[in-house]
Amino acid sequence: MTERDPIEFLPQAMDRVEDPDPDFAAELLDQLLRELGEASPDDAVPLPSAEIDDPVHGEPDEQQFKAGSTVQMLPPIAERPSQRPRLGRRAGILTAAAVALLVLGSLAILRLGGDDRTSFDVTSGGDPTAVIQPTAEVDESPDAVPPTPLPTPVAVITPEQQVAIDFLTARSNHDGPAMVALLADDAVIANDYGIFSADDYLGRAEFERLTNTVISDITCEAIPESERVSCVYSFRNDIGRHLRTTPYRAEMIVTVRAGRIDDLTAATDGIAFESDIESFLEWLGQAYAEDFAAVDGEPVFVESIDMQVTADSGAILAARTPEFVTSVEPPILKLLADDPRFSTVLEALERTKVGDGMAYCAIGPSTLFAPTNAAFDRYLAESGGERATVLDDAPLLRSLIVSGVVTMQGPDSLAEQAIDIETLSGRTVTVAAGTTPTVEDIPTLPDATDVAACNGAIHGIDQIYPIDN
Amino acid sequence: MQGEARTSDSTAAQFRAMYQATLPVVYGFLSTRVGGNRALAEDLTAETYSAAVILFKAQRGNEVTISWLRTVARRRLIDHWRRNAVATGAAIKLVPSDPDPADDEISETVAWALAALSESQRQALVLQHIEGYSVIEIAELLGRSPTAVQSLLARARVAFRVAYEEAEND
Repeated sequence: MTERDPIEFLPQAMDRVEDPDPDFAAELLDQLLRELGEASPDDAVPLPSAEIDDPVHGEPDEQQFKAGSTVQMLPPIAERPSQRPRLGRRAGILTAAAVALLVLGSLAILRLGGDDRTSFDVTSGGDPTAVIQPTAEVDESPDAVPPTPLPTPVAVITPEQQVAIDFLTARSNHDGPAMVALLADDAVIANDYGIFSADDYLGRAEFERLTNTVISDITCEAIPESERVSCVYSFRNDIGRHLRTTPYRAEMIVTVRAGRIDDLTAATDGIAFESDIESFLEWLGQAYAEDFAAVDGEPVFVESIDMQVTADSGAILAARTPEFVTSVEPPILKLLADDPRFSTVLEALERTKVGDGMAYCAIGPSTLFAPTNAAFDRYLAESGGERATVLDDAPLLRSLIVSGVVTMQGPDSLAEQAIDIETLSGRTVTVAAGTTPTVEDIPTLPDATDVAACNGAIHGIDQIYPIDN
Repeated sequence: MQGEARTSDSTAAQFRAMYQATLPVVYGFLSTRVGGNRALAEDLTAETYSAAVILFKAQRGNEVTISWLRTVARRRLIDHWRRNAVATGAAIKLVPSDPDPADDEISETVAWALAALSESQRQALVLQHIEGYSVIEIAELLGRSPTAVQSLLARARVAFRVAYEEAEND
């Protein structure tokens, strides 16, 4: 039994790997190879690029499979033992890990080898054609001086790549008109946060200028024999800096014809950006709903990250950002990282993945009774366990941690009446108010009680509590 | 000549390599979303790789990435749901082939709980919470009104939580 809302776990099913029935896999491969051999390349009807794009939620992925790079490492599916369980979880996970490692390995080779993949770093304020340089560490501070370009330009870039780079450079320079000029008159913005028409880039450029958005680590790849270019990049803004969730990683795919972008799809990798924006809009909706009542003469819903960023709304969003970053605290996991007394519980939360639900503002709320490092050390001394062994023992670690985690219910503050609450482990505990707040008679640390996070609260305790068996 | 017309051995080898390396990912992607309905997952997997065959025939096999396969798989799945939008009212229990979440993997429990929902409830949850579609987009995809989708989602969340709890307790 858990108090954590299982809905939070749904996205984890996204990358679930599962082996199909071996007979099906073998038969399908045979059929596909027959299809492959039935016609010449000239007879084939190429799949139009537009047909393979998800018009709403294109999900570009940096992990690109390159044919031939992994075949020797994986046993042919058809040769696997037929008695193998259909849902071979461990095997599936291992296979996925192997595939991921091999794919990443091939990516690394590609990056080293060059080809048509080129890395760039574009810094705000630079000349779009002169600041192409190998990726370098970026100073996150808004006042940082752009780094001096390193003298090693390498790549031969296609005209299509150059247009994509120019577009991201214009974005980095917060130059909305330059972005718009690079878009075809009838360009299709299939998916890009807040962008519904080319002119919306004017509003977003202003928003990104005012929130000190920096684009970096740009890698653009021309998709062979097409007019499409895929760029991956990082970006930082004041919201993410404050919530400590940046850099966000993102990908943009464009089709370039006649020197201009015909269609564009962009998406961020992971939930950090969406979580931050949702938190921002939620705060905005509560604090300044009236700001949006007059935009374009119509009410604008602010609960969705799909809200259109027009010139008006972009300026409003940006104007409220400084107040947001002083009103909302970072998520639990980030706050724990600030206090060296809690480094062990932080490590334990990350190792057991119990902390996954505490890393983002949009997930929660959770309340964490966090044992100090000293409490862990005493537990180790009393139990005779070794730190490394305990930290590698996931079930034990979970039992030590989840007993102190309350999800989807209070208390954010212990300075209220005594209440019984159920922890993530299903155990009911009593939290008592008073001069010294306690949880099951364990006093919370005076200087680590009611530590407010955007997704809950932390209460430090100097004991491992309670130890579940 | 026939020999020239046939796809080269190297192309076939590349396709085989791509297939073997990606099949568990693609099948898992689809199986989870259709609640462990093996026949449907297999059909959609076959459709997905048939699209890849077309690219390989066009000598564009290097464009077939994991991302590309997932995009195609998603489109095939949504196409299927759109085709069957009218018939999604019934509460169909789809029991996964191996419903034992003994290894306490959350993703296994999620998959099990998803499989216990009716098809329409599962579609709504997957589209909103996994694929990130808005209520309006889901309404368009499934041919329902936004209000009906809101109601469907509310019921789906309740049913999912109950199923998840049951899976955890089993």
